[in-house]
Amino acid sequence: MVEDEGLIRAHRAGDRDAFPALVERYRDRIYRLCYRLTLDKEDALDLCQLTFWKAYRGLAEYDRQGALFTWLYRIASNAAIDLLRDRRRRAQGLARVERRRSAAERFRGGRDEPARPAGAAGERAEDDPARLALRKELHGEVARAVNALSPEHRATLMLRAAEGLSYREIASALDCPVGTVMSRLHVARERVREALAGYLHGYD
Amino acid sequence: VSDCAAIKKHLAAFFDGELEGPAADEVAAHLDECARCRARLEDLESIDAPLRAIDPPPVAAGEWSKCWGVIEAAIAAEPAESPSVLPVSPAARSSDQERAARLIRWLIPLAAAASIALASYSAVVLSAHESARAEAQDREVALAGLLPGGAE
Repeated sequence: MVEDEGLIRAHRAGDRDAFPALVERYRDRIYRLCYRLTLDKEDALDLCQLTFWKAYRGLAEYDRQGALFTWLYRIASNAAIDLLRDRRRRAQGLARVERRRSAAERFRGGRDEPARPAGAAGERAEDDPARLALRKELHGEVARAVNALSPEHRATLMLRAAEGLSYREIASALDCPVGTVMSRLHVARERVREALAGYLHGYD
Repeated sequence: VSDCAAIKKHLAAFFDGELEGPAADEVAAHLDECARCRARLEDLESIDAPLRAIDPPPVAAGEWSKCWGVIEAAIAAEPAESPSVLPVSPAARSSDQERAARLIRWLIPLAAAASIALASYSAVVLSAHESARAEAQDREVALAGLLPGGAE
């Protein structure tokens, strides 16, 4: 497989197949990130398009240190933050409430899909109605808490907790100091912890 | 044995794999002996685990094709010049047409000047819509916020 650097060089040299190859390589990850940031499939696809379009335009001058995916994460995260920030500002009334509720419902519903293979013990645990009900409840609370976070806190939490980026990678993606990443993470987790107060051990 | 207050400050970094060397060893040693801090660590996992479990709905091959088609069209229309004003209507439109139009709208601030090719593409995309959906209008308003973004 051609490395990212090779595809970038080919793109700069005018190879028209190079950029589609990069899109193919990263589209699933970028889509997953955008979905996790917006909890909305259409928004996620829109943001994918915007991300790759911006990447196309920026790739000729791309010379950043670090992995290409971090750069793509940066574009996608900032686009998602812009979208969420604007939506927070503009959205009002019932439509907003309904949208959040449906996003939370999708999130909860998604957990019911028997998508993951599990061992016999895991399947029994999955099938336990009490456990399942508790898990759905927990996930619903988390989704509501995440939706209530500011776009910046939400992106920081998702990049760390869901995407597994290091503090340094998040700082690069969101163009902020590592200390800001840590403080945002702390605040975001505290907010989620408050929402889950009845479910956690409760030690502050 | 370290006290809980000192360990607590480093627990998130430890949980996130950001703590190394003696500092990480100290937290690990404390956790071996302190059930309360182990519970705090479990709480962090309880917060993060549902977030890790969020998987997006699958995207059909046809949806990716449409998605790429919009990018490709925008690339093909990538102009030396593009229109300063596109005939974009806030009227609702079918989903992929809507998406194509939105991307074109995003591109407006990225373009330097007028492009006949881009205008033609937008006109084709936008000409076919009749039915209106309030949701689409809401989304347009929301997505309009992306306009000032520009290229990274």
